[in-house]
Amino acid sequence: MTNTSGGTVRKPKSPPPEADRVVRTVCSPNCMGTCGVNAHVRNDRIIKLEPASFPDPGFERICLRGIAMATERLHHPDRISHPLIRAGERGANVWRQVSWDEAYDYILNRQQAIAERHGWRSNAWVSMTGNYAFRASTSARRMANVVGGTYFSKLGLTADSAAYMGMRAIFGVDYASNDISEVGQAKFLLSVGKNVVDTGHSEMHFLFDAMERGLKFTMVDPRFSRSAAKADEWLAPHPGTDVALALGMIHVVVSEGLIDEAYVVTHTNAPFLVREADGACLRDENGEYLVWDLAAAAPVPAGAAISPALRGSWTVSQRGEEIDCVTAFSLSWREWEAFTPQHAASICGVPPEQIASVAREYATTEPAWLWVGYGPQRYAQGHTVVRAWATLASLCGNIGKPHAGMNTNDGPLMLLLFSPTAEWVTPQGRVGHSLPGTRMVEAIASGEPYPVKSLWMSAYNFGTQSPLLKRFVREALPNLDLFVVSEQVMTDAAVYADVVLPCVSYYEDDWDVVGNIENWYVQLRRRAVPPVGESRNDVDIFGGVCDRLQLGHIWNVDPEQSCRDYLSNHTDPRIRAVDFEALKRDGVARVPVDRPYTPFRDQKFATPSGRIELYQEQFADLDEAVLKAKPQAESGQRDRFPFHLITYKHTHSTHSQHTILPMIAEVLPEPRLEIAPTDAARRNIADGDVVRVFNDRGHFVVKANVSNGVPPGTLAMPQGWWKRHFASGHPSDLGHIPESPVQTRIAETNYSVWDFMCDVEKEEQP
Amino acid sequence: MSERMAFVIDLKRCIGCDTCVIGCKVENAVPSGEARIAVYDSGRRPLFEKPEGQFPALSQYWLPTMCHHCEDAPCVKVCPTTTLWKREDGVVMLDVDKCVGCQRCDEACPYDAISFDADVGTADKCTMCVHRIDAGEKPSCALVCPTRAIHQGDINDPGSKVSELLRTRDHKVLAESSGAAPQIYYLEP
Repeated sequence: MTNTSGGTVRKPKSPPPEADRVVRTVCSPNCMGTCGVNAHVRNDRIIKLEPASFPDPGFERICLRGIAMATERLHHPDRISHPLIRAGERGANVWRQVSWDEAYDYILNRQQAIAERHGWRSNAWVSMTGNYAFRASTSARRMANVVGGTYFSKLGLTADSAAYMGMRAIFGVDYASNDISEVGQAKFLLSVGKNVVDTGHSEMHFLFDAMERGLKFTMVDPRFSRSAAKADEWLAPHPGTDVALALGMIHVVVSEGLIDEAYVVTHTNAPFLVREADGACLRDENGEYLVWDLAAAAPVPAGAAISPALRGSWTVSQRGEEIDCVTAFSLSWREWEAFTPQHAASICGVPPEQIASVAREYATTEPAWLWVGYGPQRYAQGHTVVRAWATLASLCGNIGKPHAGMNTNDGPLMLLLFSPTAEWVTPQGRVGHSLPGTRMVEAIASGEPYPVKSLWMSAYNFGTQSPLLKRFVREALPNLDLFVVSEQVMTDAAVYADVVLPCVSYYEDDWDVVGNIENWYVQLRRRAVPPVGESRNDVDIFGGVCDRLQLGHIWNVDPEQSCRDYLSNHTDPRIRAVDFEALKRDGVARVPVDRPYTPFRDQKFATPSGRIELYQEQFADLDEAVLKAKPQAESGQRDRFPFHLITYKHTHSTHSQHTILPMIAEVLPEPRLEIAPTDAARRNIADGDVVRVFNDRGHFVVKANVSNGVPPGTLAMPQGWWKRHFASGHPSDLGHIPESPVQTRIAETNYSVWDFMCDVEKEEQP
Repeated sequence: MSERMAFVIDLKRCIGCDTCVIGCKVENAVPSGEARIAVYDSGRRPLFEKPEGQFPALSQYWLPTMCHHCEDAPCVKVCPTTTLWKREDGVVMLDVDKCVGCQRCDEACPYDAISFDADVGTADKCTMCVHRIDAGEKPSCALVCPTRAIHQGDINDPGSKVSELLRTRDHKVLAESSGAAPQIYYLEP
């Protein structure tokens, strides 16, 4: 290299060190992006992270979170590298370093004493999503099964399960989504609260590619998220009013004749005859659902009708009884008819003209891809939000159509984690007990339905990611004879533990399989660096207990063999078809599904009727047979607490894992509460002022970011911050889990993170 | 024609995620608290979200900046030693061993692209990852950018991706009036 100014070519300042090896593994926190990564390792430290090779180069990607995680979290100052037993009061954060043997003795003495007195079910486990490979993620549940303990289910605590329950009620499955890499063939994308820019930024390039080819991207989001900034059009409903917005759009497509009636009468239960008296579907003597066949001018089994009526009411004679009937659609329309765009606008705040124009655009553009994120379902009526958008998609005939559909999430990640292989998770048929995680505090505090006297928590920053820590410490912890936390760092919940066990990060663990949520690849996770200190993986940590209980022969499986068996014994034939040898060789293998991947292409639905159940007969007694907009949980408290608070996912952190990393702190150093200028002015709050956000349950103190990005009446803040980031309190202290009878009937009440009201005031400085 | 290396950055695609900032820090062992890339938010540099306009008529864009590898680089002109110099392919280099810490380059740079490490008393800036591009690899920022917003290449090569983008998309440079002929081309959002 010649040098025009006479110098010689030198290496840049602080020349990047060379790696002594490069290991392909998988970044797998709960962003669900599961990027394949090449970890560059020198002297057993990760010095750099690069995207790993993928069969589809579109999935060669990483992000700042993954880079910071790999290079800064493993040797973070807060890293726990040895077993610890508390040496002070619970919560005092004073510890005694012990051997694994001593830690196990401590744990087992107490667990066995509890088991002798109450049975093994009084020893409980709970785990969350901090590590998204199957061995790590299912190990707590497996452990509860092997010893006959209790597993507190995670679904409701994830705050995602209202979406699953809404999907299950309507389509018979918990989730469905197209493959993001196939978005290029869509012409219109309506994203409802799926803030893909912030939360799925490694998938965003597919969407940009599609936009360059002419796709229109319309974003629905109460705040001006980065997705709203990048969208072609933005709709800003008030928080928690999605059902009204969807009903406004449904009103437009129905009243303007834009629905696909042939599809609706063939594939949904909208033409089913419903008894006026009790909302039950009318069936014949064989239990077949009846519709009104216009050709026969008579009620006919749905499958046999030539010309089923979508609208109308009739009096039907059945077994000598005169029964007043109406089609499910006409019954629904009685509720929906009021939801003109003007009426919907009065609730959701989106201008009526915009509701109408977006509805028309959605109904008339093909293919139109509807995406629904988890944000809109983080309200007590979250299942109804998903139902509302699914109803719009179904009425427009968009289900089972390539590049269209009602899309939440899908892919092998969901199959691996939510349909776990029985041979793995219930080894030798051993099944323990299960209680709803969202009722964990009540169960422990009350001893109902039975006493729970020990709790072991893993992969869960319970202190930041749940509304329960404050109540847990006050109401549940005193009832526990033992509280164990497996962790990498001393979290806000681990501080309260009796025993803290050092857990590896996924870079220190060998052999696990990870799926993705919006593509159809599975990847193999291999060890990049040795475990830090004495840390062990979740499977081996629990295995130490099993060994001491003489259950090692049931628990222990060779790690590679467990991966092979998990796939080959999986309930889903698509997972069984994965080529494990290719996965072992390349680190990545595709689940063989058709392209374009199109859920419900066969128009078969695992519902009672086999159709899309727009009408929910099962909830007639709970006033939810017909889709309707209901108020938010605390809307009656607006006089006292006028603000919603949206704690949103953002580019710089997935949940709480990344906010403590130094490089992340350089680009986003602290939480700031976004507040509209008019709200701020009324409270004499200036940008950067310290403010107190509060309701009857709790408070937190934070600096204000006076921003036009939020509307009046709404506060917003990135989530994932720890107690250390607030002068006082924590946002999770303001939350609650109001009971939803419908959700409890389907599965378990979801944690409705955002369904509460609060107020904000300037914090007086001492 | 000789090579002329440049960055082409697509402002439609940049989401302000700061992956380039952190990827660069790791690749180039940039010390804690320093960075060779800064991502501006709608022309400013706040750390917290601040869209422009009145709700809901809002807009926001992000703009990554690093050394603009100016054709007529003011930093090279004012450098009293030969710390700053230009390669034939246009990359502006910084030989830190020769830096006397006078900070004239920092003052001369129209783009605030040179940082000063007070601990060691020397200047620091983006070198377009010459150790990578000379080996035929992308610079770190372009490699790690999740949205494929950052491109680097030879704009004198009509077959290059950067040339194709400049032919087909509206673009601009920052502070053109500086006369430095900067070599970061921004594709309009």
